[in-house]
Amino acid sequence: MTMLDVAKLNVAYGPVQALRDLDITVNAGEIVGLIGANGAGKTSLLRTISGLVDALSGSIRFLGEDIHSIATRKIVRAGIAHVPEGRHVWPDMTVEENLVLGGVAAPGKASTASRLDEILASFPELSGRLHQKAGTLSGGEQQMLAIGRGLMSSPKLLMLDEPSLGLAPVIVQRVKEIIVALNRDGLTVLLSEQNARLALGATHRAYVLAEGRVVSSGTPQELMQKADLIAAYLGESDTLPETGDAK
Amino acid sequence: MLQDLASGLIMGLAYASIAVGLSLIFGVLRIINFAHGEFYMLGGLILYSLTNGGISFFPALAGAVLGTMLLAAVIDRLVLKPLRRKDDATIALATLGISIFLANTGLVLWGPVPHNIPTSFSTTPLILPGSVYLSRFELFTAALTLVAIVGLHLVLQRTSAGRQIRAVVQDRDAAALVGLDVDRIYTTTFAVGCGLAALSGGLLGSMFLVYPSMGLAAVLKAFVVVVIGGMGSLGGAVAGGILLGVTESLSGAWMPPGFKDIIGFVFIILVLAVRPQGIFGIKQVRIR
Ligand SMILES: Nc1ncnc2c1ncn2[C@@H]1O[C@H](COP(=O)(O)OP(=O)(O)OP(=O)(O)O)[C@@H](O)[C@H]1O
Ligand SMILES: [Mg+2]
Repeated sequence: MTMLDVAKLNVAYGPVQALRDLDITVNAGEIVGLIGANGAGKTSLLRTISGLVDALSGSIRFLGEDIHSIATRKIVRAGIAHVPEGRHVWPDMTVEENLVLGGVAAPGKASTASRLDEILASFPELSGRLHQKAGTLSGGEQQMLAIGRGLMSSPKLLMLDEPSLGLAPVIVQRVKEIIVALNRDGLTVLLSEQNARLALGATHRAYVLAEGRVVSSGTPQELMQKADLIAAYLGESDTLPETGDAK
Repeated sequence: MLQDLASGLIMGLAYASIAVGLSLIFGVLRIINFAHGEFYMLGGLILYSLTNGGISFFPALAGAVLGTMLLAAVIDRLVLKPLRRKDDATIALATLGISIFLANTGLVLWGPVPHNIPTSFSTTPLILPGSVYLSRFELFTAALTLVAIVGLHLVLQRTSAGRQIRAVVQDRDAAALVGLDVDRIYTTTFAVGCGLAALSGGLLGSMFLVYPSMGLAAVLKAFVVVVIGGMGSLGGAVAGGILLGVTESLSGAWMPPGFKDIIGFVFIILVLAVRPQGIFGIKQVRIR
């Protein structure tokens, strides 16, 4: 079943066109990757889906409903959680306050406490730090908090924008395990990444973006066949996973 | 000396509450509300009309504050909301336009002549230790202002609505992405900030006089306070307000009358030269 269907999407910031006739789909139960270098348009796509940026044209359908140009809070209520690039936790609020606010829009307010317990069980690194200011957490802990906060709204689709940014390899590995575990529990994930190891190692399918267009797509195995192409789009610093690393 | 200190504290608290509203609006909506003084004026003039119409002082004061808040909410929805994604200069010009519109509406409705607001307070002053004379109304003003500021602080720190406001201050995109109704938070904050100005307009207006151009002096003081205290810092606005009020009052004892208003601007120059983020401000604007 198609969960998210983006068709012919065009987005521009004044004269700068960020997305051009972009088509992607995400099926229920999948982990879908968005791979692309700096400026490829990954963040623009996620922000447009969330309604933070207005599209020039095109359509965005979620579970059959047109969500193009409706308010962000309605998109959250419809079941999309967006964990933004750079984490964006509220630095002067405690971990607990961050999480509780994440659940404000969730359907069924009574279960905020039980959702909090569930999330703390999946993120043990946060449970001892409930009263610590979020700004004093390490980068990895802030990423876990940002993901946990997103999960507080009980989403059907989780969109993660470069969760590996600035994190040590062990933490990136932990992020990957979390994504896979969440997906096993039924969550659909759209994962934007420059880190090809994470993007191809954790996903069922991926799209390669360049200059606002989809230039290639397929399963990690298929994309690995075109390693040269992906390396060209990602730039030299990014290494592809060994073939054996693919899931 | 003690007398000047006491009067200065009372004026300082009033400055603080005007500045707290201005600072809160800046922190949340990221706009400088040039119309802030006109909401202060409306508080005073609506209170005048209500008491003049036979309503007793306390319900009239509540009516003036709530009426101004309602008007502020409507103005936010009609004028500022369509401009949310526009640049700062456009929005600043819009609040300047609101200021001119409200000042002239005040002139049409109330005329240029200053009015006196009768209060139900006894005029026999209270004599405090140190032979400090304060009117009962001055004490009431100080107490109510303090309650309003402390109340706002508690709401911001302890309630879900307050947490939502702080979330918008600290990271607006993140607030939108968890599904908070950012537009409604903007409107509420604008109304609350303008309501604090209206409260001060009603209280100070009852101590002195009310007239349509009274907002200008008030907003200038508030800007001075906010520059001293640091934009977006509530504690800074309170400290800055009291500092300004007390200094003005103490210097009034040995400076020629009319020079008092210079104090604030001397403060601004000193603060901007030495500590541009304000004495209590942090470099990055935020309400803690
Ligand atoms: N607010 C903005 N104003 C103007 N141009 C923007 C804005 N945001 C993004 N762009 C431009 O849109 C294009 C796509 O940027 P986007 O941030 O979506 O890329 P990205 O794939 O997320 O990159 P990165 O990996 O660096 O995060 C770039 O050319 C960028 O300069
Ligand atoms: Mg990006």
